[in-house]
Amino acid sequence: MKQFVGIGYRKDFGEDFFQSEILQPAFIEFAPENWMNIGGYWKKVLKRLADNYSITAHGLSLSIGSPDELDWEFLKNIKQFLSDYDISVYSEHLSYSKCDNAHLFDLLPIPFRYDAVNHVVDRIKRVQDFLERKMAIEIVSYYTPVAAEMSEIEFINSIVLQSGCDLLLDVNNVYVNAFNHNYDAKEFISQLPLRNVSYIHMAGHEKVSEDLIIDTHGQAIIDPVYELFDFTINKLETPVPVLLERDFNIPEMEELASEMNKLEQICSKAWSHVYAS
Amino acid sequence: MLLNSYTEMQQSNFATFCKTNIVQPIDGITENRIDRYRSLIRGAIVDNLESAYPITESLLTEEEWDLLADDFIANCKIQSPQIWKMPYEFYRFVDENDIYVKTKYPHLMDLLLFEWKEIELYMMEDKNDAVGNLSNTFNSESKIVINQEFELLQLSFPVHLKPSTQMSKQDEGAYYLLMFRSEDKIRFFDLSLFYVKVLSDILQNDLTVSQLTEKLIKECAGESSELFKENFLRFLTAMHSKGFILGFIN
Ligand SMILES: [Fe+2]
Repeated sequence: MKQFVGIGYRKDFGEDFFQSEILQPAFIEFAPENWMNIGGYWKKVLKRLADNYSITAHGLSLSIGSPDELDWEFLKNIKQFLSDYDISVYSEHLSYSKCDNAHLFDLLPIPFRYDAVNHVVDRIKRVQDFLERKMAIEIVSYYTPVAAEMSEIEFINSIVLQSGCDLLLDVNNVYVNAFNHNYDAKEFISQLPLRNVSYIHMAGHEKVSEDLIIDTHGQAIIDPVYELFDFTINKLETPVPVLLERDFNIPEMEELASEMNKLEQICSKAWSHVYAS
Repeated sequence: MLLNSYTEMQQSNFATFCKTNIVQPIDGITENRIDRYRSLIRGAIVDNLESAYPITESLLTEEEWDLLADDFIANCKIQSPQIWKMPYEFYRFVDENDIYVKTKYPHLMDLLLFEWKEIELYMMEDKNDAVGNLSNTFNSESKIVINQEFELLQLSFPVHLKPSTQMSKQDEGAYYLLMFRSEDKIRFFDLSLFYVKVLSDILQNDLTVSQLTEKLIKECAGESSELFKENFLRFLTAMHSKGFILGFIN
């Protein structure tokens, strides 16, 4: 069993996934929206995995940055799901996916604006109060800013520090954003409130043109992202769970295993002192 | 609200563009990149609809399907945070709006319902948990325990019996489709009106096998009671072996 690296479960993984000697994840991440209030076959799959692994939850539809009111009925279901499967890590995206009373099922960029900071901070606090736990907020990849009046780093840092939430650092997203918006990824990471990082995502992406990368989760992780990952985790004071995300073009389990092994190796090297002492 | 109206308007315009492809004024964006969001959102919703409604998708022409999907994305205020439930909102959207393809394909609503109910049943929360130990055999004093994970659909077209591309006005009639989940699979049974009545009797009345048989015989004049009884018991055995009857309390 791995110590640090887990994997996001996808229904496309099929039965191969259950040959646990291949992947041996430290934990498994589920998107609660796809797994709550269900029964039948998929509920059995979820239970089988939850009986054997620790589970984390990564939400899709909270829409923390939306102008719309929070959906408390939905949050009630989330809370129940977290308690049913004994889940301690709940993360969501720093974006909005519902607007004008309609779900869009994608992550739209929140304007980097002072009033948006206040709005999001207030909502994170209310969600955390309701769930009686901290949540981790993920830095999302974005392809265009919207009506920005501050920098991305100032926007993220203000929200994390003012709300007291945790940070889900998706290293690939930072790489993608740095490329798409022409900044230095390492410098960006160095400016983040790294003490608040409680969870890391790693994934692949696709370069679609000379100046644009799309965060597809459909390819293997590329070397510069591994390198950025190595850089990042060496700056963290304590180990955190690291997740491999693969949503499309699902390869053979062996290929996922080799990515996970590589991540685990980097973690073990960076964090060995924590356990040696 | 802590969000001011300017910011809210920027967010709303952005979302509106993604849903409708209608360009709205949004400040400070990189023009050629906002299209990415439109195509990501359209892709997520259309992929989901196509996997929910494969028969409908292949019945409609490509143009009809694309127009319908675009109409849905632009005009339906999707309420469910769970994307797997979104196809039901598509069904309702088509049902409640004046949509051209409904006239061209009179069996469209039946088809959409049929395809949606398969998903809903497949995913629905478990309902048979409270059932205790049941017997696999029955006698005249047994009570029947039904699988609660079922739907009985009344359809005007036999979308479950005939390829949708071959459906015509002549097929219009009254059809009854029993769908249920058993061993994590969805099973389908075309029922005659008579067996619909049998089923509703089983469901509505807490009767023993012999009480049920008598009640049904009384209500179905014209048929020989011995033959009827034989058929009814055969029906019970068949439905038990298929998983619609979970078992019997003896
Ligand atoms: Fe991520």
